This record gives sequence, C-alpha cells and structure tokens, in this order.
Amino acid sequence: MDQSTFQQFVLSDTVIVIHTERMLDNNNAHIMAEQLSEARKKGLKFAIIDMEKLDFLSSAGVGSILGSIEDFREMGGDIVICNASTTILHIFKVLDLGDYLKVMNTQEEAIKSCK
Amino acid sequence: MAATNTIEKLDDQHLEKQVLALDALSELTRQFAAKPDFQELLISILYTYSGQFGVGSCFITVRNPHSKSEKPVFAGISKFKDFKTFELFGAPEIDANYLLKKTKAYRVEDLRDEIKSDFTARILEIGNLKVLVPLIHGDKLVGLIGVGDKLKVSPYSDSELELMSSIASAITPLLVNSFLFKEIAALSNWYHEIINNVKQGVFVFDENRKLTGINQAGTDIMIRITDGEFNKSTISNQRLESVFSEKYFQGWHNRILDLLSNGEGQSIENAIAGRSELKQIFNIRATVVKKNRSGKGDLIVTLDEITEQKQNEERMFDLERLADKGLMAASISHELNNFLGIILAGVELTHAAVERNQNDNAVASLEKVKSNVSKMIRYTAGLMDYSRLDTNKESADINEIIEDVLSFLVVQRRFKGCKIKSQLTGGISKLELDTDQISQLLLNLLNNAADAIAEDKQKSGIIEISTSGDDKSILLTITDNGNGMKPEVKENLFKKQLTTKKTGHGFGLVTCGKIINNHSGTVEIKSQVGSGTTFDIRFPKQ
Repeated sequence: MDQSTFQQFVLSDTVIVIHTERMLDNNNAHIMAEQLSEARKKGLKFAIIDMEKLDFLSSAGVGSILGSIEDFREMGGDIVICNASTTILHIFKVLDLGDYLKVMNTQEEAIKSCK
Repeated sequence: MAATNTIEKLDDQHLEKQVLALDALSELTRQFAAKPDFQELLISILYTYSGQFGVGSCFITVRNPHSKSEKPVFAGISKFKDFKTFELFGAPEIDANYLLKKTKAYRVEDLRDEIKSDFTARILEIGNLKVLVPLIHGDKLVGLIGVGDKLKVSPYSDSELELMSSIASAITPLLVNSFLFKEIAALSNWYHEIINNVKQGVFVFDENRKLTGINQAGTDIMIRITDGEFNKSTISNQRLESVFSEKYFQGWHNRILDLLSNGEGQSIENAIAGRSELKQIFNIRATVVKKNRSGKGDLIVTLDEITEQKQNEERMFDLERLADKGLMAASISHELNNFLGIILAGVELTHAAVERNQNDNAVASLEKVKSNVSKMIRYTAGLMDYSRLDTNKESADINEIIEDVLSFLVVQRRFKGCKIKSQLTGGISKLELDTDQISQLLLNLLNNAADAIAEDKQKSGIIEISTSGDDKSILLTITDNGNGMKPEVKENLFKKQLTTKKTGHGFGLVTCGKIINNHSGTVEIKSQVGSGTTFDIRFPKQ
C-alpha cells in the first residue's frame, strides 16, 4: 500500500526537486510531508514540487504541502509548485490559495525563482 | 453586473469548496475502512483541515470515550507538532464542561468575553491558535481540533467555521469507532496469545469442514505425528479428513463425526495417532460453535496429549499388580498354613493311634489327612487365577462341614486354651455350597476366634458355633469371648487387609468375604472390646 518515496533530486545545497506521482491524497500525503520535513532538516531552503504527473489532488494532499510551508519560509526559503495542470490550478483557486502559494509554469522558472 | 458575477463566482467557489470537503470526507472514510491505523487517521484529518482551509498549523487531540483512564491521543502539524496536549486537554483542572457549551467551531478570541478560567488563559497564551472545533459524541466531549492562522492571514468566515463543524461531525464517529477497533485488535491479539500458549492443540474448521485455524501446540502435534510431513502452509483449507488422515490418525475422522452427531461437548478418550514406534495417545474434544442462527457453525477440535499420562498409569498398574502378588503370597501362605495345621494334627492323631494299636482310628485319621491334602491341591490349582475363587457348588449339609472342620481343630495347639461348644440344629435344609470354600471360611473364623481368646490370657476361652434355619435362609453363628474388636476395626473388617495381630497380615478375612459373596450370603458382626465377638453369617436358600 505504501510506496517508498516520491522521486527527488537535490540540485544544489539549497534546492531540492520532488516529483509527484499521479495522485496526491490521503494515502500518500504523509509521505510528501515526510520528504519535505527531511529536506528542511538537511538545510535545503527551497523545495520545488513538480506536479507534471499529477492528475488528482485532494485537500489532504494540499495539506501535506501547507503543513511545511511556514517552516521553509522561516528559513528564508519557500515551497514552489511547477508544471501543474489547469485542473490542479483550479483546486488551488477554490481553496483560496492563489495568493499564497508560489506557482511557476515550468521547472526552469521555478529553479530561477529560488534565490 | 460585475458584482453579480462576483457573487455568482463566490457561490460557485463555495460549492466547489464543499465538494472538495465531501471528497476529503469520503477519502477519510475509505482509508479508515481499509487501514484503521489510528495515528495515520489523525494525521490525515489534520492534512485535510490544513488543505481545506489553507492553514499551516493545526492539532487534534482525542480521548477514548469508553475508557476514562486512557490518556488522550495527540497529533499536530507544523507549529503544533510538539504541543503538549495535557496543557490543553488532559490535565484534570481543565473545565471541559465549559467547552461542551460550544458544540460548533468557534473563534478563540470569542472566549475572551466568556468565563475567565485557567483554560481560557492558557488558550489565549498560545498566540497561534485561532479556531477551536469541539468533537462531540452524544453528550460527551471526545476531542478537540485546534486550527492556527490561515497562511493568508485573513479572518475565518462564518461559512468556513460551519464547514469545519460539518467535517468534525462527520469524522467524530470514525474516531470513536477507531478506539473500538483498537480495543478489538488488542483483544484479538490477546486471545491469539492465549490460544497459542495453551498446551492443547486447537484446530478450527469452518462450516465446510476446512481448516481455518491451528494453534502452536496443534502445529507441534501435527509435525510430531506425521514425522515432519505436515506443512503449515499446505494444510490450510484442507478438509477434516485430510488433516486427520487415515495414514496417521486411523479412525479419527469417523469417530469425530460420530461424536458430533451424539451431541456437543463430548470427548473421545484414548485415541491413538502416529505410526509404529511413534504412537501417541490423545483425548479429543469436538465442539460446534455457531456464529449466527443459521448455518452449520465452526468446528473446534481440541487435542489433549496423554501419552505420558498413560505410560505412568501403566507403570502404576504394573506396580499395583506386583504389590498384589506380594499380598497374594501372604494370603496363600495363610491358607496353606490352615491346611498344614490340619494335616499335622491328622498325622499326630495317626501316630498316637498306631502307638495305641488303634488301627481303625489310625485309618480314619489318615483318610482325613488325605482329604485335606486333596483340598490343598485343589486350592493351589485354583491359584492359577487368583482373582476368582473357583466355585464348585453342590448340595451339602452345612452341619456336616462344620463337624468335619471341628474334628481337626480340637486337637490343634491353637485351640488348647479354648472350649468349643457347638449347637448345630439338625434337619436344616441342604444348601448349594462349595464345601472347600465353606471349610476355609470356618477355619479362618475359628482360628481368629482362638487368637482373640489367646490374647486375653485371663479368661477361659469359649467358642460357640451354631446353625439354625428359617424358610428363607440358614444362619451360621460363631461367637468367642476373646478380647473383642474396636469399632473402626469392625467396620473395615472385610474391606481392607486388616490385622490387629502382631504376626498377622489380615488376609484370611478378605478370603472369607469373597467366600460369603460367592454364596450370596451376608455377615453381621457384633463385637465389644473386652467381651468378645460374634459373626452372624446368613446363607439364603435358593
């Protein structure tokens, strides 16, 4: 039932990229939260979440990301979303997160914004 | 126009939010059904609130409504992760009743104007806490969800509070049930532990008589009996007759089926299993346990190994037989002594008669000697089967037997100090009697009478023997004026090997009891210490 982890790449000593699978919901939300927490503990300031594969995002999935955001921002970093489909972007809008979450179109743009 | 559009949009957005919340709830329910891991459920609830309301930090604390002693469980994310729950919820001084007044989500700042309690003060100390959502089950407060600031740092709208309350109402029953699940899981584990630790092998067969469960002891038994052929993985789901196969459990299947058709809760004793040298013995119990009113129910078979117990029993039996043989030897020598006494007396009589040239007397005495030697031979022949006295009954006159015995006793040294009086009623009916056995009976009783007299040296001893009859039976009475018996001796006289004599071994009377039984007779004993003893033996007429 549990997959081990999401695919992740450490780009530099401050940036990590985590790729979602097709779904981010109750079943694996805690895995995302774990990975973000681990990254932060290692001192990585910026976590880019690449949602290219993501088809389905639930409230819990969103919550797993939000749960870590404040921690990253305290360090002077942030969580950046990229490659999200229109459906996923719509969910962010419904949940009123448009103003709050940092969303970039492509991974390159996301990486660039991490300074 | 724009305003209308905005309002419409807001309505849509609100609806969509609710749809998302509904999705979240159904997800939670699904997850709970699939994997009721309590801690994971709490975390999922937190992420749901977090995502749904755009909150970074929140906590949840829940306590078991069924158990007052259990501490509340706590989970938190972000800033509330390390929050100490007891500060809020677990400590006894918390006025939880206060919280019950609010059954829906409320803003923490609203508490300010309410009751000023320590609880309130503590809540307000925690700067980040913005909304509290009580979890109410029936009339009990079973938990609390605390929500921090929105990431957008905007106030929570009433509709948002409503939604929080709705989600809380939906998840509270899930949480309450999860406690039950935990208890059930713990109980289940506990029972498993117990079943796996009992000595008996326990086998469970479903209503199609396929094996669904076997405990550790049962597994051990199977491996032992089948000499390692048994395999736990392959045996599962095998039918009753395959598990207790004829190869190793000969006849078991049929016997178990018979047992079941005879009624519940019975057992098969001493069932043998195994092959050749590996034979082991079991007691089997089989019970049907019905899960519901219809259906056959599960079959529980319990095996209790008694091989060692049986081996011990066999050893005990052997020891007892050896002991019996020892006892038997004493009993035999006692009887033989009786005969030898008579034979010796006969020889002495013959000797005396020859010396006095009394040929007729000599011949008569020798005849009696011969007769008793024959009796002895018959007795020793009968010893082949010691547990049965060989009984050969024929129509006989008891008085004749008595006179016969008396004629030899009188001259014995044992009877020197005694006077024997006989009152034998003439003309009483003949009975079906084994002459030899009755002779033995008389010998034993008269010898005992003489010994009782000898122990009391002062008196002059008198032994009276009499016979009388009525239409139903013949009464034989032997009385002595010896030293009598204590009550406890009298009671146990024929029952156990008993002797009060210094050189006695108490077997004569055991034989007497057997002889009386053989003739369907009864015996009554009257005795008083210092005065003497009377035996009243009644033989029924056939």
